[in-house]
Amino acid sequence: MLEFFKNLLDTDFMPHGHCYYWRSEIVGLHVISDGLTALAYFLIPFALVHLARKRKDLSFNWIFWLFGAFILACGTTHLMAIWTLWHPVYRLEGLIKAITALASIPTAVMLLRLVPQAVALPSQAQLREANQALELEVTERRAAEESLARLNSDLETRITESKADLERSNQDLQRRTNEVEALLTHAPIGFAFFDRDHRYTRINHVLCEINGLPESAHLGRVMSEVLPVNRSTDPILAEVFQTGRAVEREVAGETPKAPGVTRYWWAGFFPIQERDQPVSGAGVFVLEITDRKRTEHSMALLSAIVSSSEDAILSKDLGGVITSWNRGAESLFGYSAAEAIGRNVTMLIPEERLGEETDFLERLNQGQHVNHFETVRKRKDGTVLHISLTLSPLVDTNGKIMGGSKIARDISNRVKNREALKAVNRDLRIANEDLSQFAFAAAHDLREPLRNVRAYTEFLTELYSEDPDQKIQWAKTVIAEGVQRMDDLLSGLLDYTRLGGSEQEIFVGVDVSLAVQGALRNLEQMIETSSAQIAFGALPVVPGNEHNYVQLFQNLIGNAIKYRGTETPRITICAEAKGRDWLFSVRDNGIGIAQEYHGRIFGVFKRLHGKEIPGTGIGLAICQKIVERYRGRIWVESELGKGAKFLFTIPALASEVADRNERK
Amino acid sequence: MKYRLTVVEDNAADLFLLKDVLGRIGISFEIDSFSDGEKARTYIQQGEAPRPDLFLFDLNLPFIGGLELLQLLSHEPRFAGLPVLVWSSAQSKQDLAAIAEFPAVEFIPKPMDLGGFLQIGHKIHEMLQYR
Repeated sequence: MLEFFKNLLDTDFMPHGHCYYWRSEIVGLHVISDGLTALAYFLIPFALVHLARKRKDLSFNWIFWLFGAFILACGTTHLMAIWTLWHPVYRLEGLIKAITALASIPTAVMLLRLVPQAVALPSQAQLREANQALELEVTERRAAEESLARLNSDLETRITESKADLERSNQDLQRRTNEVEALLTHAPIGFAFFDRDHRYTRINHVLCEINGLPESAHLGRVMSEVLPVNRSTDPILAEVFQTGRAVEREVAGETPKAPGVTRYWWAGFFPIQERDQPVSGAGVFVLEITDRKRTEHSMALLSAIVSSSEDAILSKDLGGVITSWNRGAESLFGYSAAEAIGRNVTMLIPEERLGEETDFLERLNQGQHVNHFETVRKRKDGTVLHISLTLSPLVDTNGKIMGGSKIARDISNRVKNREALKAVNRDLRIANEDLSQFAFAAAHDLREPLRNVRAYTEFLTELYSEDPDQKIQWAKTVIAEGVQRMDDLLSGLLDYTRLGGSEQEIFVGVDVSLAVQGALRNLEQMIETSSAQIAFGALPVVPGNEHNYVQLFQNLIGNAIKYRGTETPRITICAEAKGRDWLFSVRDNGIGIAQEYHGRIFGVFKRLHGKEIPGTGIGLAICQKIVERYRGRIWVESELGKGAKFLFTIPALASEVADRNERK
Repeated sequence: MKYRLTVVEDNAADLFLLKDVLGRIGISFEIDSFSDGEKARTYIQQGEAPRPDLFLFDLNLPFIGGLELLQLLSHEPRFAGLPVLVWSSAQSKQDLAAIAEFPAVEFIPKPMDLGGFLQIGHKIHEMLQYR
């Protein structure tokens, strides 16, 4: 074998041309045929390999490579056939043929195995058809794709749009929520919402305040639990749930905010439900109208008072034009409301008094009042009447003066009465002065003869010095006692008339304790004899003159000692502030005074006792006159046998009254 | 010496007792007496009567009262400096105030008894002696 390859290129054989006898036509034919076949065989693999390389998509292109190699090998054998015509390298030629065989067999095997698959390979026409179909399909698909792309872009646009829409609705919803929240928070109206079990699900602070309970006391509870004191709204809520209709109603009742106080609300209950669905909840708004109700009530009351008033009540604007006219005005002036309203008040004013109205309007403009101005007005029938006018500015809610209210009272009777009273008073004063003068003269003239009686009695007894059985002396004593008694009465009467007070005295401050001390000095002997105990505390300074107070206390203390019982007389003098007055009291432990005489004891010459207790019956009358002179009052509290307490008031000094008011 | 008194007094009983006590005291006197104011004025204004040593007026007199007489008297120079005594059984504050206007005039309440008359008698005696 090794030998074979060593002599591969040996030409130890005869050239193949010999077989043809070197006949040129046969040798030529072989050379040309083998040459052309080799050329073709060398060209075909190029084409195949080129195809295989260019058409990578071709299935089985490895077979082209195999074909190429096989044909190349075949071509080479043809070249070798030419070469061996002259060069007998039959070993090389055989080797190349072997190689060709080696390439041919697998190629054939591969091709055989490939045939069924190659049969399945579509034919060119089929391919063309397929291609056309494919092209159609591609076109269609492209169209579909285009329309899909359009659709896609449409969809995208739409999605973007709906996204914006959604956002807008979201914003809308948020805005509405905010609006509702703001309303619930800021409206001066109570709001609450209830679920289908009538339980509070929501309540705003205004309603919490109305109910006087915190939010937590409401949520999850029903009204009857929250407001057991106020059940007026329970049936309304029930009605709303039942009927599905809103109910508005005025309700009254109380809440824990103000226990025991009836208040008023305007309450509107309304259902919450989706269309055609049962009521899923309810809401309520509550408006507090208590103040309005009260105002209405008092307005109604006021209006009733005004319209039923007997006084004429009318109002006018700043031009004097009548704007209201009550029944009192109708009956007082004779004009009906329809006749009067719209006309000027000057129609009521007599010509000579028209200036008053100008003055009134000026005052109104300055916000001033006119109180109880007495004047004259004329009725519709022309008759005049006396009235007392009270004028007040009417102010609107902004504080602007818009007119005036006039209250006119018929004082014709009062004026008549006053005139009559004046006349009576004048008469009375004259009579009083006359009486006073008469009393003075009478007392004086009566005393005059008394002096004579006394002096001449003495004179006579002197003349009759002879008086063995003392009869003359006795007669003298009787006469003297009578005279003394008469004199006491007359001097008492004189004192009394002198207290008339017609003299204009300026009342200065009197220290009452000094006056009491003065009285005690005057009563010194009496006090000593009776061993009376007299106590007095701090006593004020009051208006008046001391002389009067000395006499006042002297009479009262004197009486207290004079009408003593079996006990040692004990007398207490006190003073206490009472309103604008001082209240004085002189209390004793004497015999007292029976109730029935309390009114009589202050009268002149009224005495409850006979001669066993001396007295003129004028002391208390003088006391009363003194107290009344200072515009005070005197009275007694006593029972028979239980002592007496004399009380009297004296108005305090103006400065003292001011002090008291300040202390208040 | 004998004093000369001019008395204006409507009450004869008082005049009687006055004279009686003056006599008892031992004063020697002569009295010109007038029972009403009218007569007294005539006497004061005529200027003929002799000048007395003392005047005694009652306040309450018929026609013309004692105060008015004092007024008239003060206008008569010839009576200047004479002691004047005014007495009365009742007097008001105004009366007393009016009397106080005349420095030479003294007021005395009319006595209630004989002792009072005696006191007045002594007072008059004094005034006559120390005038």
